[in-house]
Amino acid sequence: MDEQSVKQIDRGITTVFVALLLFGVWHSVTGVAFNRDMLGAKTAGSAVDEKLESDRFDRVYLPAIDDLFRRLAPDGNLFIHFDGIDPAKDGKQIYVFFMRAAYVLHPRKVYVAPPDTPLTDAESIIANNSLPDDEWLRLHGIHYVMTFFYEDGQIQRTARRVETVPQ
Amino acid sequence: MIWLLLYLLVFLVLGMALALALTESPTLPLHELAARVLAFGLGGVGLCWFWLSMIGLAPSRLGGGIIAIVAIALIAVLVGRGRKLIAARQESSTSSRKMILVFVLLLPALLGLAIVSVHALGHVWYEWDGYLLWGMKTRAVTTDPLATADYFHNPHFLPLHQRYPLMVPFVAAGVNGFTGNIEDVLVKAVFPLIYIALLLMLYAGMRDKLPAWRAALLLSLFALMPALARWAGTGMADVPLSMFHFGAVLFIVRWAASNQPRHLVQAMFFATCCLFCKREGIALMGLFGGGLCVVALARRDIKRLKWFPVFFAVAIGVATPWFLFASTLPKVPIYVPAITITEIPWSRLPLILEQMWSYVGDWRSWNGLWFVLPVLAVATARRSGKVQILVLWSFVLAHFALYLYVYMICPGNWDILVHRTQPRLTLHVAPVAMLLVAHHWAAAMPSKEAMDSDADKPADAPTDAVRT
Repeated sequence: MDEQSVKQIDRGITTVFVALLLFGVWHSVTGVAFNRDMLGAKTAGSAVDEKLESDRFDRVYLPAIDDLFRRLAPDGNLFIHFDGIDPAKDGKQIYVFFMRAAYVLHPRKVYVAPPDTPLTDAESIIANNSLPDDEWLRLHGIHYVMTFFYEDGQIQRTARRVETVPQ
Repeated sequence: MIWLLLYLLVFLVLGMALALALTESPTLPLHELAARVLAFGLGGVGLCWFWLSMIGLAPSRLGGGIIAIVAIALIAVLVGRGRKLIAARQESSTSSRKMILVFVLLLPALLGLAIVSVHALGHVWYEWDGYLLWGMKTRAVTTDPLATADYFHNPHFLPLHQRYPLMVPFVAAGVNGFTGNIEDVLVKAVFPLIYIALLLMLYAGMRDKLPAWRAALLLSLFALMPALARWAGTGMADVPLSMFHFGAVLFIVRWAASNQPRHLVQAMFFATCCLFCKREGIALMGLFGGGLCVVALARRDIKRLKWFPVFFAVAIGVATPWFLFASTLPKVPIYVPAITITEIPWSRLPLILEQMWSYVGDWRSWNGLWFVLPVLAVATARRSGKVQILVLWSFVLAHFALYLYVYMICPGNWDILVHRTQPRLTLHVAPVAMLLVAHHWAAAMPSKEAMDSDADKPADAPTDAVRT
């Protein structure tokens, strides 16, 4: 191949790379790689409660969900009780609530079952999720119990401080 | 912020010590020096945190101080023995016009860095796998040394893969250790750093073959790949594995050209980091072994195979404490028993290939990489150098074959697994593919520019020339 042909091929390759780069810049600026929904994290508010009840866990609501767990369980360990929640219908919520709470509150502990119970999915959580008495809660350093339950077909939540824990 | 900068200093000091110990030459171009210092620092700090944690010291300022002091002592000893490592003076006739061109071509890479930084520092750890697999482990190793960390033995967390390697959690936990808090957002500051290290390593690898402006153009093309920018800042372990995997492959390829043992030693370091970064690292060791064999066969130099056992002994030896610790952790009962590595359900093959192609063939996600590479390979086939390109192609093809095999034997919902993991797993080999693009492009360069490019290199740079 003579030098002139090499130059022509090289010019062609360079042009393709420059075009791809320009396209990549355009792609990034217009948001394909950027995930523009990332830019605005939502703060606490009614929308957050709606998200807690829905089957979607949009990442922009995670900081508010984290704040919720921190607010409702400000100290000690936490027990989450899924009172009558159906794992077949709302398995994802059960798993996300438990895992996100465990992540956010670490090194404080989050219990949904006796400590030695292997939990592999929402079904195993519900199968072992009976609410212990306050003595057991106190022994495990649990200061708060958060309960999720159905009301009008929607998942609602409530939290209480364990009575035997001193204020 | 000051603590974050001090943590960065620990990376740099340890990286400098390792670069001084392992590098083959007393002078390196600035970009090469920066790449090695940062990549060695990231891998070295992760391993050091692990060893400190094994003896009861969780990541902390004290631990960081110990790492820095040991690194400074190592530097002093090596310098005392006459080792040097300085940035080589560029004696090329690089004009200011060329410098401006390189700078302009690198601007898109800065945009990529901005995107990754927003993913990392604009938000809490949000990906499901991100916070459950890596974020949770980061918090666990921050608050307790490994021996006493409840997380690793807690049966509530069985599906969270407690046996997964801990490179990423330890590197991130160092941020918590230095600030003294469990950081929600700042902890992810290490991910843009890992992205920078990957880009620097890739740039260094491409500069072996290409002049600066061409390497800068390809680097920006790579840095802005949506598939990369999407994941690099999210706190997953895939981009760190890409960086260490690329490091190992790069130095094996350089060893193919130079036959310098120190190139292979640096490949060993990165291979060890792969083992400690993700479980895929174990499978990648097989590919590295295959790569060494390809080099020996292609060079018709069977003596090189003597390094084969050394390579594995060092990498596995360094990672042995991790394997011993991991063997004490609970297995995941829901996946392990179902895997059979000998019975291959061939009927899946067309469906898996179709799914894999749907991701790899999405040219927008990869900025055209997987289309450009084969076309360029065909177009430049007659002018391409043989050994290094053969080795790189071996790595790329073996990589896809490996993941195809894993998908084939995967138990349960394999289609969901392919759907969820394919884009991230392809990232592991993407930098190697981009380096291959650089090698092929170099083969198509006009001879004058190729000579100019050679003049820019330091004297000891790998010399498996374009037209061997």
